Amino acid sequence: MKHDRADILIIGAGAAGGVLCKELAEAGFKVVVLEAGPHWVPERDFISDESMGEKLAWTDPRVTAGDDPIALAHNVTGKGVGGSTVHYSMVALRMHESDFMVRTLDGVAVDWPYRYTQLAPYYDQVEKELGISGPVTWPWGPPRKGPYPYREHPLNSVADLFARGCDALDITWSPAPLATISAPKGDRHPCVYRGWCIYGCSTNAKASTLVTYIPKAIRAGADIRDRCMATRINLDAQGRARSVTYRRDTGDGYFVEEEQEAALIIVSCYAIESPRLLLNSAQKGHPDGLANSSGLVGRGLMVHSAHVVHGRFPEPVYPYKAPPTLALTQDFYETDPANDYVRGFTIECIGDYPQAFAQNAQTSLGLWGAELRELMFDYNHYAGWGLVGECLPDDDNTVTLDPNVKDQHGLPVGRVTFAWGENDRRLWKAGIEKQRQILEAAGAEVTFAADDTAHLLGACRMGADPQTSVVDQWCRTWDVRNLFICDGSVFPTSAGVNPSLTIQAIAARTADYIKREAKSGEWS
Amino acid sequence: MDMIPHEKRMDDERRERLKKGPAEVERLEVPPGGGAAQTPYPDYDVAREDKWQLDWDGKTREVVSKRVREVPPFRFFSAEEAALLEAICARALPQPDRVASGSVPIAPYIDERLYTGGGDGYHRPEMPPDRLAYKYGLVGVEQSARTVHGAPFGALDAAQQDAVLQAIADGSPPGRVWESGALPPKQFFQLLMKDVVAAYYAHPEAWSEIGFNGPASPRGHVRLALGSRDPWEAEEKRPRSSAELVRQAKARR
Repeated sequence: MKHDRADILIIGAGAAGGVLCKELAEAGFKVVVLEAGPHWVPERDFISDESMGEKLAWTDPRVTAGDDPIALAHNVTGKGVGGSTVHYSMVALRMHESDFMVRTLDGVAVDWPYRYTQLAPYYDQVEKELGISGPVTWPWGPPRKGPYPYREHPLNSVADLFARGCDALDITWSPAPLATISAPKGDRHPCVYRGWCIYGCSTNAKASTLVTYIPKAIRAGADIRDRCMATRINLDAQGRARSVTYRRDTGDGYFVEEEQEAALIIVSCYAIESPRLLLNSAQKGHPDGLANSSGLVGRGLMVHSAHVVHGRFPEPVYPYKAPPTLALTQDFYETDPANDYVRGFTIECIGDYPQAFAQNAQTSLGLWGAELRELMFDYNHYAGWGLVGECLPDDDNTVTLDPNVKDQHGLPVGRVTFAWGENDRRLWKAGIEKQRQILEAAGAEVTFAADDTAHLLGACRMGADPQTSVVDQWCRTWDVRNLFICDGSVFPTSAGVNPSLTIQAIAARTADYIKREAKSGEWS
Repeated sequence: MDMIPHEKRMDDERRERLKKGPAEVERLEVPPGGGAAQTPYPDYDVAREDKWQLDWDGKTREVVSKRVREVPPFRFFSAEEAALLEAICARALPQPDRVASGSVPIAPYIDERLYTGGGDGYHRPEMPPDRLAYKYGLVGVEQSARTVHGAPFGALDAAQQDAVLQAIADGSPPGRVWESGALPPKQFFQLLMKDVVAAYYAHPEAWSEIGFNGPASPRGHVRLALGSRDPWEAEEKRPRSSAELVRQAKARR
């Protein structure tokens, strides 16, 4: 089945796709969005249950390889309208000025093709649209032009302990800026501090694109097609992107193949599915995958080191209440010549739920049997902090097509290959040590550390040179000029913050560019 | 403003739900403290009347009640395999204190996950897909038991069974399956424990025994600060510390 031609076709309705479809539909374009997962209804689909959280993640087959294979699924991906913003921890941090120029300052990796000031207005725009709740003064990074739109949230017990530990060590801490509202916004109710945030917010306080950008896009006329898996991007005889072939899930066990033409196509499927779709779209003129003349599609994949350190406290903590990250520190964010590594990290409070905590204790302490059950009797006495540590890009960390495994559509699945670099290891070891010190200063009797990673970045790098990047500074592919890639995969470096706000600011900047260029007839 | 079709669909669904009210699900009866002899929360019930009314929204009631009341039948494993998996789960997370009330089932949920093809989808290249991993793993456990103790796993005493499982956890179990490289033992053990933990701590009795607040919608929480507790949260009556246990575990590694 073929549909009427659209102006703009966006693949993926997540953090970036949500922003793009709202901004472009409101500008008058005929916008179609293909989303592989379902269109969630929070009151119906998001419930208080860890086991049910898995349905929010991308759980189609994938292979994770390399010396340090990373956890996928719920840890890093989403599937459904809203993408992973329906289960993210809502930490809404900006990158620092130095993050855009690590080659210049630290002699590592690459600079971004622009500076912080080019992105700043879009951070402002996205923070306002989402209704970020944050503190009056912000101690780190670039000075803020104005206050956060909403007041900060109160601290929970874990954040109280974090503050106690930081104060004792003379470390600056701050309430975290969060993408969940602390007062009513439109018809959305403020946060009721029920916790369960990473299993989906049932009260619509969380500013996922599902309840912020997407409804506005729909009202502006965008056509959001859920359960539609894009399988291939097709070019025309002139080598311009012409259409996308996709498979629509009929809901009763069948897929129907359909095709959508558009004047402009944007790939927003995040750092595994975006490169995978390009690689699976190899065709005439693009033998190694679409937009891959640089050979860099799928290269330079990054994660954040997200090691967690748990501490046992004499008093009950009840770690499950309210958003998990209500306080954090960026005192160790910038490069310090005294360290044996460059760049740095953010330390953030977390609140693990029982299944996650038990699994953490199992893998990191080797506990099982009666001992594991015994530890779990003490669940309420544990608090912990997690790391968001910068990871330097390495072109040997990749997303490729797996030679053996195919998905339910018969397409080769993504194979993720990852290993830490030497700087990364030194950085996260220092992070774990700092986390432990803060726990002990707060009164923890004993601590244990667990390996973890978070977020996916890179694999379709943005840059100023077609030889060394896949997209330009506007997220436009160098090789196919009406094809864009806009999501976390365009990050040239990872920074040491949760990436969603930056992904959304980049998307807002790309939307502006597309609107501007349209005036000159670029997409007609 | 007129509603556009998408909004109308959403609105109709909401109206329908409101008309029906919360799902009519009979309250779950959870023994105090989850029926666990050693619990620090001997009088706590995660599904007690006020919590059932204010913390368990309709959908959560439906999902968790079904989980508890309709324990899935074994459909993936054969009867012999199911019996062996039951014996393994009884050591992976032992419940000797639940003789009277019956153990929280674990193995049936592992079977259900494998039968329905659920799970997180990804695997390492050296690991077989989950279904095969379990088939091989059960053969491997039996081979280890017979090689070391000369008897099937089910016939061993608890200490012998634990020794078999610990060797797998440590990555050096005897047995052809393990020695052939068909299944990396450490990774299999982690897969097993992940499933065991997920099944056990998805049960209201387990939530009660550890003093977990459990479902929390729509009421949420009011008292967030350190040292405070909402009246509907668990109150610790018999504190016990895991500090020494963690120190020992760290020393062993």
